[in-house]
Amino acid sequence: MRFKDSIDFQELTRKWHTADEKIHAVASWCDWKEDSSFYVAVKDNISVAGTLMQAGSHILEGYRPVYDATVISQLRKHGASVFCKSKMDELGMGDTGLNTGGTPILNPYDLSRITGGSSGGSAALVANGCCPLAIGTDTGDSIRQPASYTGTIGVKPTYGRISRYGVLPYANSMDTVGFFTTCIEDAAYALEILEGRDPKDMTSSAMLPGHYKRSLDSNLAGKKIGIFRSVMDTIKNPVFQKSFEDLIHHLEKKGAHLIWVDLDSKWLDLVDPVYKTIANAEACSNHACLDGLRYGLQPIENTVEESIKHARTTGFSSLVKKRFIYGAYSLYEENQKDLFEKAQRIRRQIVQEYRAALEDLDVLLALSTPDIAPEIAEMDRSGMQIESISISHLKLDNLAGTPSLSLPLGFKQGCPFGLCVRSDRFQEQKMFDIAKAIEEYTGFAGLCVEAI
Amino acid sequence: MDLYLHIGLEIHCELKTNTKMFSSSPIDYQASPNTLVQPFDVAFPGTLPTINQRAVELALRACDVLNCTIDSNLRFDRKHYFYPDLPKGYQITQAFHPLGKDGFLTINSQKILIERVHLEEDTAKLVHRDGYTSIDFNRCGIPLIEIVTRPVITSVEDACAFMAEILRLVTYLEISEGKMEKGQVRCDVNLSLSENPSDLGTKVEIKNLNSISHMRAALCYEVDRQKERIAHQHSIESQTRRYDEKEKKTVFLRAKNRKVDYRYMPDPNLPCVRLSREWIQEVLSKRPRTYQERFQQLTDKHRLSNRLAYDLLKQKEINDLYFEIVKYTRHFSVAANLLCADIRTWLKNHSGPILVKPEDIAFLINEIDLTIPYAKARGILKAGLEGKSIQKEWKAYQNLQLSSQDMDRLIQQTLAQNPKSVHDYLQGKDRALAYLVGQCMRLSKGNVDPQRAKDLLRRGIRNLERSTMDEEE
Repeated sequence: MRFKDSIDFQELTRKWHTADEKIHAVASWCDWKEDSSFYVAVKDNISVAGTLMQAGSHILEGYRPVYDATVISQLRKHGASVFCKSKMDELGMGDTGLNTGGTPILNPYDLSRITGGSSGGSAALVANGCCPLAIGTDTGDSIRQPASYTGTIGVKPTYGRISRYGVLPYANSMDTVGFFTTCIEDAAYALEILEGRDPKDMTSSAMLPGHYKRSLDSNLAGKKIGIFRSVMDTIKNPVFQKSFEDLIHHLEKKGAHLIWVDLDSKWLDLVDPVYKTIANAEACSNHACLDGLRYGLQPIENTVEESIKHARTTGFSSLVKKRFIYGAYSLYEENQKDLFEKAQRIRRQIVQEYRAALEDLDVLLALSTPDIAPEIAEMDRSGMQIESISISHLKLDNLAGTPSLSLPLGFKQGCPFGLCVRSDRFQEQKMFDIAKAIEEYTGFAGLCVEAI
Repeated sequence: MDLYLHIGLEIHCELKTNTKMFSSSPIDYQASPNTLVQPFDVAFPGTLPTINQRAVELALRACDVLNCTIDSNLRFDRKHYFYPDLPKGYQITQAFHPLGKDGFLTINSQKILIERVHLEEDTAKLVHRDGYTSIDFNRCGIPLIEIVTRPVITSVEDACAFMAEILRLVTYLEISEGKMEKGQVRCDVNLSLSENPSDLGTKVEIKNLNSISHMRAALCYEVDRQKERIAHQHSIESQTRRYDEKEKKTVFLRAKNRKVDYRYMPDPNLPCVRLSREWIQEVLSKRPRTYQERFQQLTDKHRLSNRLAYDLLKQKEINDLYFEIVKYTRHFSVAANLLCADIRTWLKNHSGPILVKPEDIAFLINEIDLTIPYAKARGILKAGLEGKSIQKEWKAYQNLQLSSQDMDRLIQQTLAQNPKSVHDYLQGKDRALAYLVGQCMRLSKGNVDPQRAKDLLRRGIRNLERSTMDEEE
């Protein structure tokens, strides 16, 4: 669905309910207004006053925020109505859509496969044609990875573009509010609605807002397009390889200059460990407020200490608890130098190398994921493997705060897969321009599964 | 056996800002519990801190006066532990980069070294009742500065003097009301004894002392308690104790057997704020002057005697007014004397603020010996304190001044009534003139400017002398 599509409200609400029964993407329904300009799904880690917010975790059972996140006010200012909170992996820590504190989210293209995560619910709703826009968050790839698996456009803007006020944190130095749409034009417009300096968020950027939609220019002549060879060399799937090669030949034919980009594997191999160390430490710190005393799950035991222990033991899944342990461990005084501080230093180096490559380019291209969405039955649930660069390259944009999107490139076995287009900080216009050109080539504007 | 005493102080002082350190909640100590609470103060998920600029300004004043090196990069860290009065599960503080460090304060000619002065947020208030505890989040998030000395204080009296000076400093700097009893300034003391002066010994922490007299009693008790144990060859265990005011002794609270790891981490929600040298200078140039600085100014610049300066500095309200008044007049000692005598007396017998404007008091002072006598000025001032307009009173007095005709008549009358004095003056007894002035004042019921009367009397006597001489001729 696109912004410009006309809405039959009855038809739409019916579609929402049947879609949810099919893919289980809705965490809770909101009070929507009937005559709104458009309807938006919002990931369940973003506060909507009065509506239940669980963020996929039992520890927030029954919690209703008393205030709206800044992005919600901005959406409403432009005539939007939030119709539901979408399901997500617990507290933003997960990339499958399975650890939601309830039923798993199913991929609309193939119900035996995952959507990816942690913004799986938002991705699935847009893929299923339920709304033209769904809001998500991306800390490690949580928008772009599910976008690739669900054939949608998933945008993670520059860190600080969109206010984080009201967004349940995961790793504050990397959390970025982003969104899903089905076409680039809508994506460009969505960023205009959502971005802006927020005095309530000291990390929000004071950069002047852009006019991305009206400035969209898909002319490829003379554009410097980087091909991320370090990543593409790890892609073995022939369908994927062919799709990518066909694309870059097309780009060249249209006048773009292709530049091969290699980053030292010394740095690339460290992306995932550095990300995990920093993210787990920040997450463990951020979720120290979930102690079962003031909201959410509030068990009453004999002492305060017992209540806190009970809440946190039963309220968090073991996946999340594991992350907290790693995080706390890296922050112990005797470990900080070798773990947390070291990861920060390496992060700075990685970002320097990465941005040096981006500086000379308009965009850098690579496949978002090395394969289509895995089958649910085959998933390794432990979530603690170190990922190869074919997956972890998406995290470069979280470490560096650079803007990055995924848009559908092709299909394999009836399931979509995406292409990652990224630029240097605050260069979203370049990113949207090239993505528009690619969308014109694929013809996938407005792509979604037709609802049952 | 000689034992050496080592004391270090950790002082927390609530800053006098309108709103909290990281949220826009107002601060009001009289408010009902849990009525001044924003979502951030109870750590609802998704809330974010924003820095209170005024708190930084007030903290800078303290850093300056305690001679600290100021860090121009403002950075905050998280200190993690679980407790019901700490809703976020961490306190935002400045662990790695305090605003001020390596300062000192001189007490009894000794430089007490100050390790750090940093900003942080206060926790909620736990109120222990019979069988349960309630939490008031009004206090949660109020800005605090923490002042930490090195363990270089060597006597209980010095520790108490240091605390008294800190209370006075924060009051004069106007960063706090400085009331220990109200919990606005709290002090924890670390105390140890050792046989070797370069050794520190085992530290015992004494918490929550809410007055200097309690501090003195608690420390004296603790020193004796430890000396007793050492004398009997018992070891001192590292522990936290509190002072029991009823029993007048320190009481064991908890053991300090292992060091707590707070997993300090820089707060990613608060980017490093660069404070420019110009801004810091501007903030410091506008800060109120301390007691010592005021004393210097009164004695050096205004040339008041030490005695008068001390007198003036006895009450802050009095010397605050003094500094306002001397913006409009240069008669420093007159101003000081009026304040120490008349105004102070009035304040002692009346409650409520002084309603007279400093400009008006200064005006009055400037008119002394020009259009009004000193005594009259005091009278007008008293009227002003009681609510009358000083300008109107002064005007009224001017109008009462006798016309030159009336004046002449008065002079003649005085001279006629006191021929002996006239004769004495002519014989060279100057004191006789003063007597005549007094008589003149009496006759006029005080409505005459004595200087004017003196001049006219002198002239009058000369005229008499001349006319007598003429007669004789």
